[in-house]
Amino acid sequence: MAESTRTMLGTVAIVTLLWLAYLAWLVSQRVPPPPVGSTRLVLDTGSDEVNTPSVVIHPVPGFNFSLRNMKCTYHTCFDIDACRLVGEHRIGVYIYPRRRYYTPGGHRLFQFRKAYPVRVALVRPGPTIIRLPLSKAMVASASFTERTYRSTFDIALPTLAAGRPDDQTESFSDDSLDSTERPVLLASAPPSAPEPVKRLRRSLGDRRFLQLNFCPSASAATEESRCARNGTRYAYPDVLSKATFCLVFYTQLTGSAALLDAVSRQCIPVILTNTNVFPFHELIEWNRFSIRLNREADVGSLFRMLTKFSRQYVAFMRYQMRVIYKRYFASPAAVALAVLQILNDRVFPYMAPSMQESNGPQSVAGLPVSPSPPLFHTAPLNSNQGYTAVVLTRGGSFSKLIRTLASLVTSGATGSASPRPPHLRKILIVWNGLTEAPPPLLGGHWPAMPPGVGLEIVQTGDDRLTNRFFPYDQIETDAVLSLLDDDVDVLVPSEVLLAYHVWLENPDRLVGLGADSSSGGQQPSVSPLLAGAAFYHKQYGALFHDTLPTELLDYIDSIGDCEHFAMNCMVANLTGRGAVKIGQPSLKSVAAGPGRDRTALAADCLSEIGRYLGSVGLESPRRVWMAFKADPVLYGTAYANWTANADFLGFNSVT
Amino acid sequence: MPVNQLIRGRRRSLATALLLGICLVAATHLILPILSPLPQPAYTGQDAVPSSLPDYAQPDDLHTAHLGRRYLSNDQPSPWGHPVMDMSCSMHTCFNFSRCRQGFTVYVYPKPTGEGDGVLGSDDESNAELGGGGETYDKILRAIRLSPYYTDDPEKACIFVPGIDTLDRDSLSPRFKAKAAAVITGYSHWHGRGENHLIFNLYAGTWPNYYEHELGIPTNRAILAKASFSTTNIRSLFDLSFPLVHSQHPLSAPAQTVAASPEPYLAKARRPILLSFKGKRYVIGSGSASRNSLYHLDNGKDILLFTTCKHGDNWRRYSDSRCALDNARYGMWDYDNLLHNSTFCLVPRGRRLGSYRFLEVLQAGCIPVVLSNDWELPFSEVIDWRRAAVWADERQLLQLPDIVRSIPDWRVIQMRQQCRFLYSAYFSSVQSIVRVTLEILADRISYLRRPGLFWNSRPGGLLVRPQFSLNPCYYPFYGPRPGPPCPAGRVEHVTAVLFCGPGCHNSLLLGVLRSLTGNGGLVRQIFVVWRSSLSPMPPSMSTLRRLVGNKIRIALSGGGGSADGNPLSLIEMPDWSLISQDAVLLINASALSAPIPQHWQQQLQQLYRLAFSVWRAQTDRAVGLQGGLHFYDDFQERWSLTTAPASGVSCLLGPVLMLHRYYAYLMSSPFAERLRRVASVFDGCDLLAWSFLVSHVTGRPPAQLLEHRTAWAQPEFLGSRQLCLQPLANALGSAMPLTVSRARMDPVS
Repeated sequence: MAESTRTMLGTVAIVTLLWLAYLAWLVSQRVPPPPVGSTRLVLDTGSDEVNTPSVVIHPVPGFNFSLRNMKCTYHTCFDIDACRLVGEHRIGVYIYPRRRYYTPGGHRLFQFRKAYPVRVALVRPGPTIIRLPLSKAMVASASFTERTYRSTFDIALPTLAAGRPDDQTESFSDDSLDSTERPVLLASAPPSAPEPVKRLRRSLGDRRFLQLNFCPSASAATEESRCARNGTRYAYPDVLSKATFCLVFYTQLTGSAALLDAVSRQCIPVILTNTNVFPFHELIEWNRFSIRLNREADVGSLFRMLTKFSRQYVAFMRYQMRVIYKRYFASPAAVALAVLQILNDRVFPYMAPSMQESNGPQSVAGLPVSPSPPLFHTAPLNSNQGYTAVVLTRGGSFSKLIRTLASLVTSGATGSASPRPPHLRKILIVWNGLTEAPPPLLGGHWPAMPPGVGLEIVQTGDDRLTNRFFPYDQIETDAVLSLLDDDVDVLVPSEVLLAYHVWLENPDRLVGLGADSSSGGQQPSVSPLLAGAAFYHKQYGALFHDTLPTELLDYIDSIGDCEHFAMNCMVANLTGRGAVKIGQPSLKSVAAGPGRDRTALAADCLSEIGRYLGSVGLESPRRVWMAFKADPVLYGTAYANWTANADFLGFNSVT
Repeated sequence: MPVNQLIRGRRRSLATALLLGICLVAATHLILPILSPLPQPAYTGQDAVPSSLPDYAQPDDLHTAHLGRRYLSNDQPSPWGHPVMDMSCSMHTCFNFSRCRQGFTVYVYPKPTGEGDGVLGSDDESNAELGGGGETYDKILRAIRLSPYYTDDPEKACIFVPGIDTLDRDSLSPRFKAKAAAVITGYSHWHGRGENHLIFNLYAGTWPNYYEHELGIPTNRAILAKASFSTTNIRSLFDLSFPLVHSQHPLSAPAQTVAASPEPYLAKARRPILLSFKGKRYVIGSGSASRNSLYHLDNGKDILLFTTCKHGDNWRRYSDSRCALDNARYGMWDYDNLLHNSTFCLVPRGRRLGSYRFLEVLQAGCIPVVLSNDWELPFSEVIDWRRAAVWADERQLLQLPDIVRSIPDWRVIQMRQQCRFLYSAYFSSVQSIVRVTLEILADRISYLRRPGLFWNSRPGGLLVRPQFSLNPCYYPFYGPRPGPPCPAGRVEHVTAVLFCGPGCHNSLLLGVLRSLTGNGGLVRQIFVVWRSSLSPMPPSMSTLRRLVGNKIRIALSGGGGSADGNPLSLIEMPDWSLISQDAVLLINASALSAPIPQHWQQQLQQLYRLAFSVWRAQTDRAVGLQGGLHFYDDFQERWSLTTAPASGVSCLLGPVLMLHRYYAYLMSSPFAERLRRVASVFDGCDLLAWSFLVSHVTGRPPAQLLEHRTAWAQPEFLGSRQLCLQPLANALGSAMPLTVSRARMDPVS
């Protein structure tokens, strides 16, 4: 019996040992705990000083999709705690050194297991399947379908052709539209053409439908050349620039660069899609420059559909493709940066660029100006709020300042007994960089304010002209009337009121009064600009000081008489719309200060602004100078004579 | 020891060892999956259905752990013998496009008999407060019937919508329709799969788990338009994330929609309160975690978060130590007051991911701070919510104050305006919500899809029709940046449309034509619409061509007088695709007195130039002569018109009108069908219809040129016109689209 017990015990011991070994093996496959984030790493330094980053990038030559936790979303599997909100809204990224893990065979699994868990893996599609414990890693891959793609978590990459030169589009200028007719309507380089395509080819004929196959001979050259059905050999993908549209099959979307080849040659992709996830769909709006066919059968009606696209729209799509290709696909670096952009937008979604911004041309480097209009009211604003007059004085004639103030508070309606000008809420005097303190508000130094109008003074440290646009807390209204202390001449009460009304209908524009210092004579391409008194939205003051580069602001202050140009250009750049001008320049333009060589100065100023902003924003045909006078309905009889004898405009009541 | 015994002993020990081994391995496998994520078995090929994989989510996967497990599986049999919901569906696999060859049409199945009684029977106050489905679903169906896509013939339909209310699928709810499943599966075109069917749902699942797919309907291949969708359970580009709408939500837009009162405190990017919330916390159960910890953030100054435990009848049973304090503070602020005084408003998950609060917050112009991880925001397929909402993270609750403080003022202002725009364009009424749903589906079926720019900037996707153009250059709304440059030529010239109605004769026509030709090439194209009672035959084309020269293309339509009895209407535009210029100048020649002497022609030319320069500066407005102002006449209890000089301008009544080509398209499109009908019924309303159309689309008033002419203020002239103000507004589905301008454009002398 004892022996039997011994046997039993021995068996148990062996089994237990086996179990422990099994357990140990299982545990060895477990992922070690993630590192705790502490400092961030700025990507573009390329330095090796690695503190624990928020995102780790791990290049993997191949990847088995089934190893992922399909339930993962950004909110469940992304370790948000590693992403700290430090100053700028930027994530830190760490890239594993490649040589440590990248083996040519790609089969030495233990190397991966011992590594830190990977939270991002950059994957190129390849034949090698590697089993990795990456269940919670984000995967960036070019071969996602709607089923395998984890929305908000994975990243859909483009398939880049190996060995192609990086950037083919160096020489294009952002503003040109290409509407040239291309000889071939539709090109297609499919691995095998389904029946509807064959039918289409037969109906279109070989001249309008260019079917490209691999060339029968010379297998080494297949990547660079394709052969048409008649045997003509073409350089690929350059041949695609002969075609307006390029048919791309869903089988070509993975593992082949057909889509990017088409985009790079501005050949509009006509995609016969199945369930593919489009590359960078979070950034790129593919609808803008591609056509998606829902079914294979739609190919039959393709010709009719394609001829519906006007030449202008084709040019528009080509432009979009150039922009998108240059920005996101032109090089592996562009692709990598796009991936990081997507990640960053997920972590800081409230600072992400809009679709409109991410599909436009890249803004000038370092320019923080938001390219979308900051104000987009359409309905006229309510006049209840009134406006604040901001008067900047630099110690000129004090009496002139007093006269300016006095004319501000003159009643709007000439000759009426109204106690105060309508809508004026406050006068804010910017006592700019003067050594002596302003006279106290009390004591009769200042003109008496009518009831309901406040008077306040802010004293600034430096004598900077840009202070006139500063969004002081004392400004409590949306509308700001910006004046200089010698602007008394422009203040015709009815025109001020008119300007305010016009501003209410166009709060996203500058509405100027009085003199204009047009540099139009010297620069015919540039519209005249507002100077002097103008209504603007307080928000533009904030944008002026927050988003223009400091060097530009310094320059403006150094040369003087330039700040209004900068304001004009900034608004024109943001909104794409010109300023509105009230009044009659022919009468008032003499007020433009004697002895100053304004035109030369203005030209310098404008070119400097253009250098910083990319453009002064005033050349486009849509940016129009309002060369007419706007009159409020309330005051409009001045032009009665103009139509006095135009009786033909009268309503001819025949019914 | 006998061999037998030994063998028996060995056998026993072997058996024991085997048993033990099996037990241990089994135990290991029971315990380990909980402890560690194991590499899962590989499957080959990418076409295997991922949802059929075993779940290896870790315990910290709080949010997906309980979601919809029951209905995810394809293989799971259901009481109806079909897979409950086909998770692998996409438009390409589960939608029958061939049904939509005739275009996009929607059919609504008839209401089941006796349905009306059931709704009325359960319609008491408390249910209405719960936001039950009855009326809301009726409104949805009515909105579908009002849409241009509705068809009453199921054979022509592309999309089918059940007639039975499917909004409330919470089996504890009094509005739960138990027989819905039977009714729906019995529909004539359901065919056991539900292809091309669209099912609306607001509430799925019930206490305590609120499973997202617990609809009690075998939705299978039907498209779900469902509120509170989560990212993992929505079938991307197939299902639709629907907003949670309250039963009190209006069917059509209230008085202020596009022209919604502009933010009064724009100058102050920040409202007095930085972040606020007022609502129930559930104390326990699904969705309670976030709300229960909100009090940590409350600082009593600019972050005010009020919660109450009073939820349901027996809330005391679950109340915790903070409840007394929370309940006492709860009444400190009025809900609406709080929303309107806050820069950011918290929108935490409710029992389900979405909540009514989302729309309420948007309406108040407060920027929603969404605290509902994995929620798929409403219509996220087309709306870029990053511009309007702060996507907070429940895992980073305590960082929330830092996050909202780190958002710069200019961004706050942008977001607030975007909130207002999105609400007024898409969410202000059940009708627009349903329209968005249908337009998204229509876009999926067409190869012309609105780009995101159209959806995410004014005037919004519903007012922009992709049939006109996908190119933003051709619309009057979109500024030039960022984006491609527009071809310059289109805005340099004018297409004139000359209406020659009753009383128009040759010499008048020729006079106007002469004024159009000598403009230094301003006018490039002229259409003459001839329907004069004086001379049924228009001047011959050769005469016209000789007059206008080679550079101007001229076309003539109409003729034959007013034989068909229809008076000439100023909205009868030539085919919009033939109009080559963006600026369209409408001239009502019969409203001008003839003959036109030489010097008047010059003045007319001056007028065209003025109109053109004003129009070019603001292409989205209508520009013309003779402004009128609408006002509500309390005495007669209707809208009236005035042309009194000391007022404003909200519509144009003069014989010359310049507007963008897009409006010419809209007026002839199905979009304006009802508007055209009204304009043809009422005398003299054709011209007014233009002002209504433009103001409805842009919210901007027309721009008036030159001063008023008193001759126009004749009562009989206005009399017939003011009768149609209300019908015109109704035709556009809005209370009153006109807005008032107080400026007038005169030439610089």
